[in-house]
Amino acid sequence: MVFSSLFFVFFFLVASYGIYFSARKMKTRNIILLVSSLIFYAWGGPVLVLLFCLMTFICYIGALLISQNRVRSIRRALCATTVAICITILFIFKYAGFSMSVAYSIFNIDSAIPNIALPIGISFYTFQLMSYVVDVYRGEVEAQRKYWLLLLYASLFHQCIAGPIVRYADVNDEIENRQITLADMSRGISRFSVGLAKKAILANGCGVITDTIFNQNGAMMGADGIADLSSAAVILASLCYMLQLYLDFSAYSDMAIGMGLMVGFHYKENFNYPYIAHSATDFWRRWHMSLSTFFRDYVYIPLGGNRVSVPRHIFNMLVVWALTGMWHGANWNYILWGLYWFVFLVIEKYIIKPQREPKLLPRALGIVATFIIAFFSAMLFKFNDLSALGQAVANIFVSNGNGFSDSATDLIFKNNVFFIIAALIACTPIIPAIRNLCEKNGTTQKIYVAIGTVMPVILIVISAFALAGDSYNPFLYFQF
Amino acid sequence: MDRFTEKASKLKIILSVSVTVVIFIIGLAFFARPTRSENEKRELTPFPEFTVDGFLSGEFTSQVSLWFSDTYPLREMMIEANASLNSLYGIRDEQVIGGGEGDDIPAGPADIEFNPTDDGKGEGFEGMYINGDTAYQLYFFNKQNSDSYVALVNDFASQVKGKAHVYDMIVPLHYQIALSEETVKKYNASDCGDAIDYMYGNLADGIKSVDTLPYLTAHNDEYLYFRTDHHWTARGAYYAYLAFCEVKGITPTQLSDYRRLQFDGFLGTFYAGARQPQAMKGNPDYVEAFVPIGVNEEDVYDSKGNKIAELAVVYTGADKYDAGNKYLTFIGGDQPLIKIHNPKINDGSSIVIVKESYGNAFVPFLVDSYEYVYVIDYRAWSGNLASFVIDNGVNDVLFLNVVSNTSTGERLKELSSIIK
Repeated sequence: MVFSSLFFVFFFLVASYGIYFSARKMKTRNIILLVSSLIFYAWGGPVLVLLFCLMTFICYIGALLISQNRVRSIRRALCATTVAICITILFIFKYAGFSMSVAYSIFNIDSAIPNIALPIGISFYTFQLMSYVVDVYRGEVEAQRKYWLLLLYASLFHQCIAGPIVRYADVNDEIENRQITLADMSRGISRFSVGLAKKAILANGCGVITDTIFNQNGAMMGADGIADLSSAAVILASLCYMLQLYLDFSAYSDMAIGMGLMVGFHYKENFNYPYIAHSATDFWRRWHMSLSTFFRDYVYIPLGGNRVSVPRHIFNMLVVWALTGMWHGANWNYILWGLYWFVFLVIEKYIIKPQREPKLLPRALGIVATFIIAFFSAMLFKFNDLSALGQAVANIFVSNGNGFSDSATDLIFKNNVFFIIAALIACTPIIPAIRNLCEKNGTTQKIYVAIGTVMPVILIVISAFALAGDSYNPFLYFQF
Repeated sequence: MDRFTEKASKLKIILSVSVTVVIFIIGLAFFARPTRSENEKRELTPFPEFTVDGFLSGEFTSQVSLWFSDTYPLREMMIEANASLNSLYGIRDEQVIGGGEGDDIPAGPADIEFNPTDDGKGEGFEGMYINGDTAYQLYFFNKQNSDSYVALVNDFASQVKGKAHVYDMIVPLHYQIALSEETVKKYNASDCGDAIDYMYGNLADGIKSVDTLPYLTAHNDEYLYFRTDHHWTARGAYYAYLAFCEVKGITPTQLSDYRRLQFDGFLGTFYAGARQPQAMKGNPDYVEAFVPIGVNEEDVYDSKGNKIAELAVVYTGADKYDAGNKYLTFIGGDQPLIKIHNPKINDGSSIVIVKESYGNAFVPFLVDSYEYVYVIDYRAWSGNLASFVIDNGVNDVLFLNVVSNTSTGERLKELSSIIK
């Protein structure tokens, strides 16, 4: 089931929360939440729920065994085994096909590659479960004694298929003890409606512009098609894709955080306006934070982090960024995408060394430079076909006889100019800045609160309008 | 939380939850769910039948989600509201949807062969240019397909050589007579006149081409094409009929001799394709129709030749049709085979018109020029055209296509199935 569908928002969510709030006891509520989550997950393919339950079961048993054992080496072995099983399952479903195609091409084997369906959200829930096992091993959190509650944690429909990657330690207490407060409910509704509108209106709208330019007969163009585009067409389509990537993914996190708040869960933030980052390092402190902190805590620091020799440090970074790239998908462009960021991060670490909080001018220059880096990173993300990517980049820099722009692109821009400005604004913290300004004065604060009172209902209604037209409207981050 | 914020928070929750619940309740009203969309001209997604296989594959559940939004009771209203919102996205007086690039059109005759390409552009339009309340289908010349079209007509002519006269009419699109050359060039659309000249120039000797462009251009201040639909009007078809009469050397019926009907409130395919813009809705098309004088009845046959209905050539009650269906006024829409006998003419003259939907508005004018008119929609009829012509002793055969169809692989395959 996708969040951005009429069925989810105006049937599933209402029904599920309606039943949830009609129950009084926490245990009953948790059962309702678990059943809803399993139905939600099963909607995308009922068989895959079994895999999901099985993986949770393996981690449940693994963590229990670890917690009952005092011998360090045995605990370690148990932890390593459980994590290895998780990674193996993830590998089989996500990377086996790709690895085989690479191996076949190297060894010149001509044989069919099995087509393994990617279970929805497997990258997200596998990482959640692994973090749980490792945290139990580290003694940071106690093992969950009830399987169904661990299953509830892993399957919570708020975040199980597209993040954020919620650590068990962060919600451990709230699984059995959580309160619903007026403030949380109010914030949750605002957050959810903002996320819904961000996805249904802004992200999808950006997607339409990108597809209008890059698609031919309903599919992404190859290098030949791209060669006929003007520079402006490539830039506009890629810019809209860059905006879509952020708006889409952060919208999902907004909705997850909002739905969590409505029932008393407090998930950590996943984005902090990455497109105003002033360096690549800063960008990764702001983009998909639950993934970068995961790799930091479970890979980078265990490898020694930065408290090692320079070559070893660079190696540690290489490992983290290759894994980050691979996590996003089994294709060369994602691996290159991870390595692309690795290069900039190493340059910043050892050559440019930007300040953590630079002054105005260096910050402004840094923001522009980082935006450009992020722009090309979005192109890397967009193009599965590397020759088409090369052609697109060449179109931007090299005159190909098509001119800088063309009438069709001018018209697309003109037709969407206000929309693009709105999408850009949504990528910056202008609205929080306005809120801060308003809070300095009693009257303006009241105006802000008043607007905030009616805004959610407006956003929900116009999102419903937008969704009515799209019968099928999957999230970009679904397959990762 | 201060008291004002607290009150506001409560109000916010009540507002958002109640509106969401209202939308939920409307969604439960399964009896109010539509099953068909007239604007989109399609059946909406039905509620899926439950099968174990379908359930296990996830097909069932995904169909349920699709059904839910596709047949939501207020869907049409919501889509319209969304269209109004979209109009605020930018300056939308002009828009292009889709687009493409045509091949160069050769100036003189060329070696032609039948070898159509199916590049996935078989259905729908490649491009559409919208200016306010008017949309124009754009056409991109495809040499391989245009050659194939000519090769088909030539092939057919050789099959009926000495037995019937063959006429070919390729109709230009609206933009050719309405938009400036500069605008047409801007969006890469091909010059319909050059393309038609190229194809006519390659027709075999003996085939008579009907050049409609000068007739249409001479009257381009009149209402010749719809603004919200991809067809031409009956008036546009009438000027093409004048061109045909000149080539054939017969006297046409005067427009003023017909009984004229008008059906208001037509919103055609462009309206749906452009996502129902307000500009079109506020100024819909009307359908003008001219009732044939000799007879206004026709017999309709299915693709196997069984008679299935008796309809009117021009349906005088078309005001009953939905806004999206008013082009059905002409010959009852696309039918595999239609036979019309005009009892006022007794010279045994007969014609087969081999057409797609552009032919529908044209057919009524042929009724008063022939004793027998046979209308074959090559997309639906199955049979051998040459045998049909010879068996029925038909004098004239007219191929009528809008120019874009001569570049569409799918159409050429259909046409070849009744010729080859």
